[in-house]
Amino acid sequence: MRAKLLPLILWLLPLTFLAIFYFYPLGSILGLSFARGAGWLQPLLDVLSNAGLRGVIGFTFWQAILSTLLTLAMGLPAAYLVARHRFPGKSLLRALSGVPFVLPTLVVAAAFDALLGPRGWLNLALMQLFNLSSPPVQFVNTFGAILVAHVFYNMTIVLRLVGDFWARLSPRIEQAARSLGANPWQVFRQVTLPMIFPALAAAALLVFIFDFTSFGVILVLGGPRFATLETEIYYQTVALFDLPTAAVLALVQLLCTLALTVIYTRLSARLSRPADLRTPKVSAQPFANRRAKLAAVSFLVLLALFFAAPLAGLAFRSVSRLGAERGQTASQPGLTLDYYQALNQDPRDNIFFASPSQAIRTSLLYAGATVTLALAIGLPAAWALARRRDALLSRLLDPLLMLPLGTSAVTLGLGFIVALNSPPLDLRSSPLLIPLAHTLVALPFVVRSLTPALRSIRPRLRQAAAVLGAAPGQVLRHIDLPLVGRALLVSAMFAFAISIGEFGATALIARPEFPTIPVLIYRLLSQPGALTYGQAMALSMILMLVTGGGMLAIEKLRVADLGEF
Amino acid sequence: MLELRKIHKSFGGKAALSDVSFRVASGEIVALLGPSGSGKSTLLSVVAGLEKADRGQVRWDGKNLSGVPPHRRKFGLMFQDFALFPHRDVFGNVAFGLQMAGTPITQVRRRVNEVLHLMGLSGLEHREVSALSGGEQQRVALARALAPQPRLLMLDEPLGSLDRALRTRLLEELGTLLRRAGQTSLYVTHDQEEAYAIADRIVLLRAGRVEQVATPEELYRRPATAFAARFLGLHNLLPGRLVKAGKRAWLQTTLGNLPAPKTRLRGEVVILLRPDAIQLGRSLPVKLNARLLSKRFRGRNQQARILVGETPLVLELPSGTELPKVGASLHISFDPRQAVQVFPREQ
Repeated sequence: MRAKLLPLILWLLPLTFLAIFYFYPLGSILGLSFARGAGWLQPLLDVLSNAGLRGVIGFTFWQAILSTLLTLAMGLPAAYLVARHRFPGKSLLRALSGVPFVLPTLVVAAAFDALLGPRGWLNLALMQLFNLSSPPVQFVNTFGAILVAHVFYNMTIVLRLVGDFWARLSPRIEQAARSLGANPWQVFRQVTLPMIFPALAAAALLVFIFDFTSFGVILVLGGPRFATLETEIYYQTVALFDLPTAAVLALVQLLCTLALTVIYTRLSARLSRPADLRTPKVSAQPFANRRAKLAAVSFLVLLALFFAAPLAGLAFRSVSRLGAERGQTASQPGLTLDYYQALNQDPRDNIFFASPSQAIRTSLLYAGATVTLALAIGLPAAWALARRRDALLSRLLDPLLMLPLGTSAVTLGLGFIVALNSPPLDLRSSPLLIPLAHTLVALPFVVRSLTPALRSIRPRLRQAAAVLGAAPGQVLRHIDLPLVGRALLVSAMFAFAISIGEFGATALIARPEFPTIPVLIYRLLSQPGALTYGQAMALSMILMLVTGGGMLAIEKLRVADLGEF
Repeated sequence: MLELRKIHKSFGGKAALSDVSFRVASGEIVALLGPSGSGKSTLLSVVAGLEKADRGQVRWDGKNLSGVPPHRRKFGLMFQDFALFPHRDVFGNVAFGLQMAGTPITQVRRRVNEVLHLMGLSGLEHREVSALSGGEQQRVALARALAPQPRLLMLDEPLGSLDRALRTRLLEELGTLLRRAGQTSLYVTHDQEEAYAIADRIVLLRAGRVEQVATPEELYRRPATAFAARFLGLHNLLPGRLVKAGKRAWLQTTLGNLPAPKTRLRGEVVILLRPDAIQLGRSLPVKLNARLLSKRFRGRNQQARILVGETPLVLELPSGTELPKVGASLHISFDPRQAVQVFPREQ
């Protein structure tokens, strides 16, 4: 009897949480979008008949398609080089390309702004050099900025998914095709491409999903001229207070991401189809000739620069005092910690502004609450999933836990606004609102890192410890706790990093007087003044170090054979 | 000294062990031999205290261990799947038992280094166990079991997953190691060659029962049952009848009548004609005509399949023996006192 009840008890909390904070808000969005009555399809038709909104939907797809194609165009050669050749700094490139992916969007936006923005290095250098009075390079608020940032963000997906798959394919197959008379292009077209296609398609789709739901990049780097579904939902909610329209847009967004996610899941299932597998070492080949080598080396150097430059630009910009800006009296240009020291200073002295240090405090509090909530809810779920006996129940409920992953952050935020603003669940002014939203985003990661760890505590290990003389208490202390402990730490860091960097949902539901770090960076970036800009850079730098450091620790802490991503 | 008295253990009404009794003397290496599913691993778990026997006793030096939990038995167990602790490095794994016993750290270091050196693992102290090869993991598992100097060491198919060459080498090293340390050991295996090579005595298990307890030589020379003979790879098991008339006794077989060895059996029996006791030519008392069906070269010896009348037999001959062409006829002979054994017919 107890054995039958346990899984139900374990699932109770996670399912209740999802019901109240995921399904209920989404249901409310659904309800709101159909609330205008006049038939089922009417609200959708209304949106589609509005040329402006039609344009938004069109642009959402257009920018995502273009970004994806560009990402593939840059990523495929890189994947090929990583898969088929050995070169110094390969693992460094891999690691470097992965850095943007784990950074908060606002940090990436700030990094590009620091490099190419009107107050960025490139423009400053050009202005200095040619004695110009205004920045010559217009990067921010262009379509190009969106595309470049998206490539920067997502190329690691192509590099990893396609590159790793490619590396495991035996080059013998390609050699066989060559010996049968195929030229290199025919080999690629007829042999390689079909073989890597599942990985390629999965990577492309994943990149597309990320580009489709991209928020911070478009808001900050695209500026007001460009609107996607995601930014339009935000705009309709925050600026126009037109919740019904926002709800219909969220519905469109939800349907699109849902369809894309389903296709992706199908595709990645095909990825596990065994190909002729080799260890990557065997597959590594020398370059054909000097010209090929030169081309490869210059491409790799450019790639490394592409990844390193914005981040380095951000780091330097946050410690650089520049000369005259906007006609203000010049202080000596040089290195400075001014912006970090000024974190205590509220630049606007306005009720809707907060000092960076206040934002840091707010973010830390939210992150702490998120960690607590995510572990409290994720642990029982992971425990239930780790018990092999409840395999059927787990198979049914596991996908539910992953659902928030496929839902855009802005939609989640909107759902909170729509659903949790009236009794019995009036959480509008609750300080828990943001941690609850962050928990929703973090939960899939928490569960995914805890489950394999809990599973790894096989009874065998406890037996081995007992035979070696460990009393039951010692088994708990030396076997169970360290094994789960590491995973708990990893999960906690995931939850922490996600919470501290989350922007989409937070932008909608954060109270103006309590901005989080990303929200304040966004506000500071849109303000004039050297100090605000420097503060934005310093804050972004701190955020980058915290999230980057967290992710690094996660990589290190993971027990080698336990990963399940 | 380990003593098992009438151990019974069943899972869900199905007997896994029944009436298992034997002893392991101090310093002795006993192999627990049997096909998979014969209860070897269950028996180890019972001895280790990880499973409770339904009936019977595990005794050490005359003391019943029933109430003693596994961590107080001071028995070492090397698991078939190693069960290395993934969160501890090589040193941490090997040191575990000593640390649990509260050994001072300097002694722990000395002992761990000693055991690692013994196992050829020096220098790997701080490797993650997941980064080791299969053979290295195996040696770490063994080192971990050996380090606390258990009064009984149990090894569950310790060489199971290794390739043949490595197995042969490690087996030899392991035997030397255990013997030099005077380590009382219980060695589980399904491979008779392994059991012959390492054990002072072999306990042959069959479906949870002890089939035979004997030295390797005895077991090979005088298997007690047809099952034992078959499991040890002795071919030529023939059905037959043992007929006694007054003082005379003979075996009726498809090969004709053979003189019977001394036995209390009677009626339906199984007859073993040892493949290694049959010779070519007509020099031994019982002479038969046969036809060569096939021959297979196996290194030191060769195996010949022949047909005597309708009865197929297998011969194991030294490699140097000249065999005629396949299909040709040949003479064989054997001494029934050496070559023939009888067992009760199995149900």
